[in-house]
Amino acid sequence: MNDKQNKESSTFIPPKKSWWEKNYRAVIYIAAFLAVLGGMFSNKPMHLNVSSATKGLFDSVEAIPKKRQKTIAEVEEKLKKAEEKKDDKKIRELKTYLTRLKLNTNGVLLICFDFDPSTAPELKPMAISLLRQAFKNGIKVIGNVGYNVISAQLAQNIIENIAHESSDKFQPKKAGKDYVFLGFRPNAFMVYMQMGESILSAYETDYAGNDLNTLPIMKGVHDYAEIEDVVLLSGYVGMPEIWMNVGKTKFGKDVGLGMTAVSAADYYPYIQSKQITGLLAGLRGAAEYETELKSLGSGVKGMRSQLYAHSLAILLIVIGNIEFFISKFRKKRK
Amino acid sequence: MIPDTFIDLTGIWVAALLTLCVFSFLIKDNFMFKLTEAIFVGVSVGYGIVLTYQNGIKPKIEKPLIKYVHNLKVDKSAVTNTIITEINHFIKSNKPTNETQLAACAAIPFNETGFGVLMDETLTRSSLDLANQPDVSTAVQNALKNSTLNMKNIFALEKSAEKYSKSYKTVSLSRNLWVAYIIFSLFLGLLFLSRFSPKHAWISRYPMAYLLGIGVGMAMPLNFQTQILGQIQASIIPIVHTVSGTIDWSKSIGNISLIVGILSVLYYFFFSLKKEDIFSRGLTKVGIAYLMIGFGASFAFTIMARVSLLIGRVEFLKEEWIMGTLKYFGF
Amino acid sequence: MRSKLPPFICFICGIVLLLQFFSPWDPIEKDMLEWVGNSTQVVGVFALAIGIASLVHMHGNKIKRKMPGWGFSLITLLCVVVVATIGLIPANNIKVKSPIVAKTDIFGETNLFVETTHTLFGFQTDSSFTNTIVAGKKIPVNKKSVPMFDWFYNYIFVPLSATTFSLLAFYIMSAAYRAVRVKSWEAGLLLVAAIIVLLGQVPMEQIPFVGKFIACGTIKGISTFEYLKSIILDFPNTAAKRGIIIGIALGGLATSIKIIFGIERPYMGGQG
Repeated sequence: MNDKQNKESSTFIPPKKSWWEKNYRAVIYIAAFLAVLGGMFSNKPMHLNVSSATKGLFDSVEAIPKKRQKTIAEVEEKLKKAEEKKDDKKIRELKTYLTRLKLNTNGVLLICFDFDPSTAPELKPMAISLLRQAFKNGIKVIGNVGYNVISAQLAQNIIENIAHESSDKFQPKKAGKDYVFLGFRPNAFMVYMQMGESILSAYETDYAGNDLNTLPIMKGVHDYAEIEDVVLLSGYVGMPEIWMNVGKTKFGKDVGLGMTAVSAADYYPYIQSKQITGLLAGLRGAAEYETELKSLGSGVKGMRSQLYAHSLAILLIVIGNIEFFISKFRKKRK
Repeated sequence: MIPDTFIDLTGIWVAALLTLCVFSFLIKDNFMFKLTEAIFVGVSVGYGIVLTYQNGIKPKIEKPLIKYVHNLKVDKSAVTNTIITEINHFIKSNKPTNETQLAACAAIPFNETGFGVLMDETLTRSSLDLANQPDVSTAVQNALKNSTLNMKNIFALEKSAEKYSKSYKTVSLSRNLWVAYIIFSLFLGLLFLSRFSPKHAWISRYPMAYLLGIGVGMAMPLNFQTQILGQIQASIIPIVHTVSGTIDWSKSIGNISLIVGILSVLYYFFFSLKKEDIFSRGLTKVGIAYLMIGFGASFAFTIMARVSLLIGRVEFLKEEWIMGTLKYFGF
Repeated sequence: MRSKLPPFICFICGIVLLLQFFSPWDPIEKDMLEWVGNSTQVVGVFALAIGIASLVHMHGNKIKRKMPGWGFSLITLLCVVVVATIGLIPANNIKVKSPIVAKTDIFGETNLFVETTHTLFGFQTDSSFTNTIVAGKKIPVNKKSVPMFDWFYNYIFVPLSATTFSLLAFYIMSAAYRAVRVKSWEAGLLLVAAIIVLLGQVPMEQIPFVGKFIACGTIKGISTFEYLKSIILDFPNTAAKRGIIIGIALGGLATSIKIIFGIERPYMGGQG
């Protein structure tokens, strides 16, 4: 059988391949590399229009201190009513809640860093912008990781670096006081549900192994009630659903998403249904966020490379289709 | 980016060489690529081991068990006594005149011993009800008796016990039950390891069934609420959108297209129905058209995503490797 | 025991947790979450461990039987041992101190100094702040102690992981040329939508020479294609993806009920 096949194949003369057919891959690869590299040599500022999806998330995070003030006012109102009714149990509950709320007057943001190095080029700029925005506004940050244990080290490095940036806009932030990185615990869905009961019992220690009891920031955060916003930066499909289930549906928190572009289009329905505050779609989303925050970084920088790469992709699609139609036309003629 | 130290500079060079080795796969599958692949798998598993230990085994299994064993030696009444002495001390030095001041005096040692956390949940300072109790020590004992000890409170108790007394014994029922439950979970988890013996692999069904049952039971109502109710609710939108009496045409057309799209796509996915008449075939075609536009958008987004990954690497090579090295040596 | 008990466990766990969702009594839910949550975390650790163990097992077998490519397996296991050892052994005093380095912040000003120490073993990066006065100005110094574990992560794991996935950029370019072709009306529609979104994704007008021509002017203050892109994403895309979401969720609901009642048994490994 094998010999027969060999004989057949040896008698079969393949049609001569042109230079292009032999080498088109190499040409495309080199062109792609050059397009990306070419974009890096230009320093011209790139103006980007900020989409409503990005703006929604930005505004929601920006409004955290106001949200906290509003909650405090509401609780004080309730406390007054309870004092009038002399409902001792409720007074006690509200008083403890109020003490906790007043410990972090600018509010608390929970950022979930669910990306590993393979998706970091898209999601790291988002993380950096979010952290800068939070620190600039005096918002306390709690970070965690839900899907892959390997993401924890990357997230820790990002938070450390941004917290230690010092500038006129904000002083270096201290671990345990201004931010805490909780790290990873297995079984994300259950952990997030448990966090709704008590963050302390779900995590017990932070990533560095410090007892959460001893950290000043955790004195003011018991569960989701003392967290204003949740932002999930996810390179994994499935995590946004978990956060929408737990964060939005179960505990009524504002959930924002930052997704890799691959799966970003799948989450647009949730913007329309207002189940998420906003969506950052890939590098473009990150670049828009940087534009809105007026602190340009690798997101905007990468967009120029994206410009050339996109042009190349469109060119390739067009050339491919022209080729396809020509060959179809020739076949018909034959 | 300038590398901070020589060790970092070496690291950047190693990283750059590995990057180039991986890129060499584009030309041909070769020895260097296979080598980097092996290193990649090895390093990520190594990380997996360390991080699983640090983030899973250590806080969830090791620490609670060690704490439990340690605390068996400690005595509960000692803590109560310490607190009573402390409260008496504060009352002596501050000389409270009314009930509120008395409560405040009592509160300080409670907070300092870590009992403040306990009080947040079950009893607060005022619940000590010092005015109606015969004396301070009875008040404290009653308060402690009335508090239901859950996990968090027990940790608070332990903390205070560590601080104030070495002979504190936490032998509450829930505590023992708790540890029994952890050990039971540990045992369930260990059953997973039966997978390595083909003969006993079936034992690993127990923990799997346990995890699956819990996960499914918990997620089901929430999934229903978020993805079915939430999405359907958002699709019930006005066909004719009016803004203060006048019709907003663009919004109305958008809403109509949204509703038609959702219905036709759902209809297309409805497989248990023969779709032979013109109406259903037409609706299916519309559904396909919507899906294709959706997939087109996803495809365009995918190109952006993939290019972003390349940008990250090229940026590393240019900025950190070449420019970083040059800057490190002062060029 | 083999085939009756697992579905029973699944049923009990599933039903109890399903019912607690509807329980009006708060403490039940709270205690349940705390106990069940911690327990699943403990069991979940082993689910993670089993993945790691099976990989080590596989490579070990490969080496034992001297299968083709066993040398690479040896390297893999060596890497596992080295990284795990470095991370698991507690921090020690083998230190390499480096000089203090000035760092520029995001606004281009030099106002942070970094002093790095490298330690061989250990897991957590330690970092603390002190202040020094440089040229009459109080400047923070970040004292970092970076274990080699971190070095392996930053300079071996990160580049390998990121580069492996970045190869996809080349393949998708190749696919754009080879695979995206108008062979039917559906494919045509997909292509048109893709091209519009591609054009809208980047500011085309900023390409030198031809950019303004490609961009086709503006609508409502933003470029034409960006406007079209937002329409595609907000309406047809939302409709299509919502259809898919609802479809999947309904299917998931049916499967969940089947799993709880033991009609479907994924945990049986295909033998149920």
